[in-house]
Amino acid sequence: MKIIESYNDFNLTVQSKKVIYKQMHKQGYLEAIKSYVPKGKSVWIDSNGDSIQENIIAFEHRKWQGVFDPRVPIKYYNEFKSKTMFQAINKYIKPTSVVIYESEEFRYVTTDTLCDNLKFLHDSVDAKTLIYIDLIGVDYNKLKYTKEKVIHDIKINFGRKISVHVLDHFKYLLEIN
Amino acid sequence: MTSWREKQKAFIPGEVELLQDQRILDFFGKLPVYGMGDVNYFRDKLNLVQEPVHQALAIINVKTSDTELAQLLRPIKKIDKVCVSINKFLIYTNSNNNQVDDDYDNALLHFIQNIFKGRRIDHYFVKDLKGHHFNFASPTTQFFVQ
Repeated sequence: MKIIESYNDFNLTVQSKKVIYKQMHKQGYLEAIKSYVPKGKSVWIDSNGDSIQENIIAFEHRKWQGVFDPRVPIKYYNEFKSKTMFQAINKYIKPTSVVIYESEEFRYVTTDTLCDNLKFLHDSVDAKTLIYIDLIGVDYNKLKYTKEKVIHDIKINFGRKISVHVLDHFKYLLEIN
Repeated sequence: MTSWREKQKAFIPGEVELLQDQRILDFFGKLPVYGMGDVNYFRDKLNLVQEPVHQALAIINVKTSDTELAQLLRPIKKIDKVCVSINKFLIYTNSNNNQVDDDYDNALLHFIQNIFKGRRIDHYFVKDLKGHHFNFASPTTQFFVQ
């Protein structure tokens, strides 16, 4: 019997990565999120974007490269917080929106990291940016603070630059304009 | 339907056990254990029973408020040996409380100490827990009360 503590204890096969990616991207709020996406080109980052649709350009982290059908046009990146990547998106794709849905960059993060990542997107993207947040997956002191306080603090940090849409209990869509 | 625990265990060839599950198995042995919450995985591994006995296992792996958690644990607070296993992401409060310790792991320990007053409690947790320790399959925050 082998006792395992974490993912560091073994190597993942491509098949295992497919199972994990699917588990991380259940997409239960896809239709709700699409209703906020404006017409025009839309860049979906780490969001299982349907890149078969000609108006969607999907970006995925390079570690997931084997997960997707190689015939599907997906662009792979090494680092999410890359100014160069977003400069290229702004200049060459000129999207009307960027969507971040169930991304690892906004999961298991502290509220400080969450705000840093939002600020990075605000400063880097020249389009409407939609970010799905499930506060269940955010790391904060859940005995001390309510979810309403966390959302309130985000609003205070960003003021009018951010709109908050409630999708469900703990689930929000943040819109940066 | 295959559980998320079983799906992840299948990533590794051979017979495997998650560290947090093994701790539970080692703690209880063969004597009857009153099971509460997400204990299905242990049905064939522990002598689980429906009525409170001298041992109890509570696994909290669904969204649970602090008030609900206190109510859930109240019936087992006098039991000799208790393991409370909590997915700390799934706990929430409906009111801000400045008296609570700033460190969430300590705050959870104080919460459990307040229920199991004066008891010895061994506390296991993963600092800065991310998604690498199978927490949503089997909670990594555990309190062993004796």
